[in-house]
Amino acid sequence: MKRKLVCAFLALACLAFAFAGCGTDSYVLNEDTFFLVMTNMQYYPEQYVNKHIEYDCFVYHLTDVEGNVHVCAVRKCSAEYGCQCGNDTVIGFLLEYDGDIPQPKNQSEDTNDKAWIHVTGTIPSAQKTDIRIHAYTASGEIDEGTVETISFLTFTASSVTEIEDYSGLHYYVTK
Amino acid sequence: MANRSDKQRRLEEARRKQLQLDLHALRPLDIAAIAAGVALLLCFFFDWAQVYNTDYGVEVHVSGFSFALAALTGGYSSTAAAYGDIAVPFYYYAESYCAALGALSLTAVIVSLLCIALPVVRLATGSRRLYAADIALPAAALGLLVACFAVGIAMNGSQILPVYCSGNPACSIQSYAAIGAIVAAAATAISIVSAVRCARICRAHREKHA
Repeated sequence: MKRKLVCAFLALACLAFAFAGCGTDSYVLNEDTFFLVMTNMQYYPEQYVNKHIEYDCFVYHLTDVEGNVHVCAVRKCSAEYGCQCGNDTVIGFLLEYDGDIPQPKNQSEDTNDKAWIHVTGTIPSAQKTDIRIHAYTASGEIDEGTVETISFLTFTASSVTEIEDYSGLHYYVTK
Repeated sequence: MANRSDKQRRLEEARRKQLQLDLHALRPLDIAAIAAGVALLLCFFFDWAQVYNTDYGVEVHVSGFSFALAALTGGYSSTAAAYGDIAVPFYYYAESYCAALGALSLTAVIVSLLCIALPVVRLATGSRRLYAADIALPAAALGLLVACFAVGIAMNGSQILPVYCSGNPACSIQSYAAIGAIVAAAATAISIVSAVRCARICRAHREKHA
């Protein structure tokens, strides 16, 4: 009887351990987890709605066909996972914030010297916002004759803090 | 009269002990069956599905244990390390394949555990009764692992290659569940040999003492 109880307890402990990876209410992304969790957020946003999320990224301005500028909090990544936004492939969110957001810096250049910010907030909805942008030619020029539609999740930030020392951060993320 | 029944009883006891002694020769086969079962379980650490790029090697992968765990917990869209890359791209672009692989893998894990448990119980109790499960369990594991391999390879027909890999001809989906199937075939062979030899020993005893 005692042995059966021990076995049952061990089985329950294993199940509890297995379930430990699910159902978290808070996500604080770091350099090790950023790519995996951010990718997962893009593909399974319903799991992350209204959960507390913190991450480091840089400011990116996306201009649509009507000239409206959409402020995004992103990092660059490869095409399999990110959004092909014109000339750049980025992964992240549209940013909604009542306060001041720094201006983007070197947003499309291959350099780590960007307008890095630490954002805290939530994804209020799994619904993505469609944005119509001009495509780019192979030479990197805007092709105003071609329009693409891209989709972004919205991130409602409760705080946006500029990062002074971003030496430990990577503007390009990969698996 | 009493002496005759005592003598009969002692004779039967001696025959039983002799049979047990002869069946003792099958213990190495029980140990081999346990070893095959353990090897079978270890095969679940291989990738049941991986995207292989001839230019870069393995891009993303999911092991048999990850599929079994996902089926057990429903964590197909989890980022936990235990699940490998199942969430993206596998489950997102090949949901039905992943669900099938999960169910097959979980069942195969349970069957593999039973393949170890049965010879352990036999060694511990000394019982040599032949059960259908002796052969049926490893044979079932073989069937399940062949099915796992088939589903893993069938993912080449899902949206993973055209969308995630952008149709890159250097990419393909591979599965190492076949290795588990080979080990399961060996386990089945061991169980068949053990059952046949046990049956021969028992028949020889019956004929000798008929």
